[in-house]
Parts: sequence; structure tokens; C-alpha cells
Amino acid sequence: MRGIPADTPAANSVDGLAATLRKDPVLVSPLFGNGHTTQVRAGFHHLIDDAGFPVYVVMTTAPAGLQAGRPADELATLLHTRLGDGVYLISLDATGYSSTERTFGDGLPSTSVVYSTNTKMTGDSGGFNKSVSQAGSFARDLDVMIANGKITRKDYDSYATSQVWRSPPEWDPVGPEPPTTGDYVAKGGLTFVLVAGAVFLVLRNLMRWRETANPGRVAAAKKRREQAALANAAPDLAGLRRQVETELTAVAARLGSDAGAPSDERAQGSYDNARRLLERTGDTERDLLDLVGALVLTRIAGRALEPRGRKQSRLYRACFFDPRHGEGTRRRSVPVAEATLAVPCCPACAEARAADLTPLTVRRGRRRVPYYETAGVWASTGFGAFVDDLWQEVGDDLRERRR
Amino acid sequence: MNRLTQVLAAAAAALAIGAGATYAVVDRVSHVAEPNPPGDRVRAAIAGVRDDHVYVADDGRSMLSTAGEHHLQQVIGKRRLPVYVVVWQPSRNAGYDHYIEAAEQIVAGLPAPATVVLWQGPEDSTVQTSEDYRIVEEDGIHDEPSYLGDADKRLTEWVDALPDRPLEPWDRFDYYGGTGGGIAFALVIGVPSLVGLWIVIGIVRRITGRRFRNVGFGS
Repeated sequence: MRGIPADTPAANSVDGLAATLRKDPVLVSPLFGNGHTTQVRAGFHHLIDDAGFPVYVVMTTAPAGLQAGRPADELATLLHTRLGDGVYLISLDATGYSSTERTFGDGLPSTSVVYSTNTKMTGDSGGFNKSVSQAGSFARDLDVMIANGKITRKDYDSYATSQVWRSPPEWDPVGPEPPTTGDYVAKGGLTFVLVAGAVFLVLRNLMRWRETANPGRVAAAKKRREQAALANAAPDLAGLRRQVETELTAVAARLGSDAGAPSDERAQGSYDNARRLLERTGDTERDLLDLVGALVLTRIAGRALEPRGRKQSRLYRACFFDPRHGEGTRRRSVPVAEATLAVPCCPACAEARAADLTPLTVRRGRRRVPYYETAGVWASTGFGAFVDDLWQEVGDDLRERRR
Repeated sequence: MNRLTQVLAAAAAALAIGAGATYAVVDRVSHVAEPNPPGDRVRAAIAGVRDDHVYVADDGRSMLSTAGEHHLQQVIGKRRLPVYVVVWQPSRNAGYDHYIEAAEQIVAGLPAPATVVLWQGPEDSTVQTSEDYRIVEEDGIHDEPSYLGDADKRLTEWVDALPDRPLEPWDRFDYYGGTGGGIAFALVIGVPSLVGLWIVIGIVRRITGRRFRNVGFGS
């Protein structure tokens, strides 16, 4: 024998087997050794040393002379007559599951404790668990008998994890197969094509991300940021008043030189009412809407005085959301009260999401609300968004206020 | 960084990262799970056949006598055939999950090329050869002996019928069809995937106000 524990001398008779067991109560052939025959034998010896009662382990080919029916039980009986009371663990069939565990004698642990423990631990009275070898099953059951059923879960389960006692790992008939040339080329090549291609595409786009941005959208976004800053900051009323006065002075100069033009009435009316608004307002926050209205009227007057041409035919309409944004050259829908209205607006407001709009607000109590949610001539006209003759509406309102 | 430099930098980065990923995948592909380690019964059989080509376990002696063992050793040894014979009784409790696994473990423990006959009787016997080898396919040559009858006679008949070089290299089935098939697979799967990625990137570009292709508005 080379590299394997010496096989147990085949006891060709029951008497020969009994004689062997008197010298060593553990008889385990490599046929039953689970690939670790030496350790299996040592494990049984270790358990028997702790048992305190006779134990015989027989795992080998059957001796001659046994009947065909239940050879393991028959051998247990025959050995009992020769060796006396004790626990007999016998397996004679290396390819089947035929084995027996027998106890002979008073005061020895009953195999019933094995059944009850196995039922509790595995739900199967035989403790069937394919992860435990035949030798492991015997050893575990003997451990249960020695502990009289008081074995811990950890100790019980250790037989299914110990390399000596557990069943060998499941064999895979088709593997593990070493890789082929095609495996290397296909998987490596696919990885290279995907990763290198993806990295190149992403990097090229990232490198040109800013460069390829739409300049119109970039400008609109910048404008929106500026308008948001304007809406959030305290209004510069003095600055607004200076701006209106400057533009109004320019309109006045052109009014003097353009007398007799067809738009005189709108220009003159808008100019006059803008001037009146400037005269009756101060620089407090409640004057904000009137100052903005004066700015819009000034620009309406200015547009009316422009020479006939592209813009002459077009009435100046300010951005509905905040006339300070400039002319409403675009349109967008906006919910006002219970209606949805199409209103003129600046390009930035036209492209902004609804949540990003920054309308002109006025203080109402502790909070600020869009001007078009308040009462008054500016909300009803939308600073000219809803009417063509804003100057007349404003004139009527000023007369009303005077009363 | 001008346009050409950008392209070269992106290409260099793509090549480097692609090569790294490819190395990792090839390394993973080449890692094959280790077979189950042989137990003491299999190790004894490997040691038993290594020198004289025939091993009969104590439990297998009823199937092949000592005289039969010596006869087989002479038949195989005279022609220096890479044939090894193991005779033992079948077992499900000897440290392997299946008898073919035991035969595979034995042949794996021998210098290639080798073929192992595991004789367990009429039902559960097998012949296994070294990885990437097989028994030559010729008229009158069987890839395994008949397992019915006297082991010495049956095995001698089979060995006698073998040619002097009974094993030939055997290219295992390559699912991808070798190098050309592997390249074709990589391109057939990889290129459409990249086109898909290009489309996704283009959609993202459109959503963010850019042109679909990676060009500016002045282009």
C-alpha cells in the first residue's frame, strides 16, 4: 500500500471480525473512509474514548456466511453474541444506504434518542442529510447518544461542514472546462471593443461639452439668472426713476420734432401719463408698480414715434412677467386666476420652466405675490399685455385716484 | 488643446482603459475552478499505477487475481502503452461524488497523455483520458473494453487491439469557432452596442440643447 492507510485485514468470517474488533473497536475500510480514512478512524476513537460504554464501528465488506436479507442487522446480532453488550454501528454496503445502528444491553443509550434528535434537527428521523457521509452520519449519531440527545446545534451541524465527515463536493460532469482560444478572443475582444469605444465616445463628448452648447440657450440661461437676481433683490427705485426720466427726456425731444405724425395721440398720451406717474410717485416700495408703468408708457411712446419701418407697425408690449425684462417679443401661456392666457414675454421667460419664472412681485402682508395676482390697473392691463391703449386705461385710473 | 490633440488624448485613454479591462477579463476567463481534490483511495490508486500501470485494491482482488495483475502489467509494459488500469469495488463513501470523477482525478494525477481504465465490474466502469487527448478512432479499436467477464482477459483483448500510439491530441469544441470566430463575435456584438451608446449620447445631447452629433452650432 502506498499513501493510504492499510486496509483492515478482510475478516472473512464473523469470528475473524470479532477477533479484530476485540483488538480495535473501529474497523473502517478505505472503501468507507470518505477519502480521509485515517482521520475517520481517529475521529471514531476520539468519540469512543468519551463514551463510557462499549462501541463497535464496522464499515467494511461483508464477511462470508451472512444471509442475504439484512446482513448488517444479522452481523450486529452475531457480533453481540461474541462481544457482548454495546452500541454497534455497522455498514457493509459501500454503494447503497444499507446500514444499522443497534444498542444491546441495559443502561446503554437507546437509538430512540438519535431518532428524536435527528427529527428535531433535520425534520427527518434518519437525520438524512446529503451533505454528511455515511461515516459522518455514524459519528454524529454516536455523538448524539453520548450526549444523550443534549448536543448543541453547532456541534450537530459541524458534521456537515467538517472535511472529514461531510460528503464530497458535488461533481459537475461538464466542468470545469479550460477556456478555448475562442473564449479568450471573443470575451477579450468584446471587452476591448465595448470599453475602448465607450470611453472614446464619452470622452470626446465631455471634451467638447461646453464648446458644442447652444449659444442661444446659454444666453437665455444667463439672462434668467440675472432676472432671478433682480427679482430677489430689493428694487432699486431711485435707479428706476432715473432710467424713466432719462428715456422720457429722449421721448420729449422727439415729440417736439415729430408733431403731426399719425401716432401722435398714443405717443402724447403715453408720454403725458408717464410724466404724471413720475410726478405723483416717490421712491418707496409701494410706488414700484407705478414707476414700472411709467417706464412701459415711456417705451410705448418711444415706439410710436419711431419712423415707419419694421417696428413702426408693432405696438410696444413689455414682458408680462416683469416689464423690466424688456420687450415681450415672444409669447407663452400662463395661468392667471382661472384662465390660461397667452401673454407677451421676453425670450428668457419664454424658455424658462414655469418654476423658474421670476415675475415682478409686490408685498402683500408678510409675503410677496406676483403683481398680476393683485388688484389695480397694472394687474388688469398686464402693463399693456391685454390692451392696446394702455395710456387711456392709466389716464382713467389716475383720474379715479384723484377723486 | 486643439482638435487633433483632443482626439489623440481620447484615443490614448480609450486604448489604455480598454486594454486594462481586456486584461482583467482574460485573466478571469483563464481562471478555471479547481477540481475537487482526490481523497486517499484515489491517491493510493495514482501511486499504485504510476510505476507498473496496474493497481488492484484489496477490495478489488476478487475481480483481478495477482497473476492476472502481473499478466496485464507485462502486456502494457511490453509495448510501453500509456494505459493504466485500476481495479476496485464501487463505493459512494470513498471521498468522491461519482466514479467517473474518481477516474478523472486518477488520470489528472498521471503524466499526459494517459488513459485510465477504472474497472469496478460490469456496470460502473469507465475509461478516461488526459485532457485534450482521446483514443484514436480506427476500425477495430474500441474506446473502452467490454466490462463483462474475466477482467484479465477482457482488458488484455482491449489493450492488444490498441495501436502503439493509442492517444491523439484532440481539439475540444470551441463554441466561438477559434480566433476568427472570436473576432467576429466581438465585432457583431460590440459595434451595434457602441452604435446604441452613440444614440443614447446623442439623445442626451439633444435634451441638453446640443446637436445630436458632437459638433457645435458653428459647424
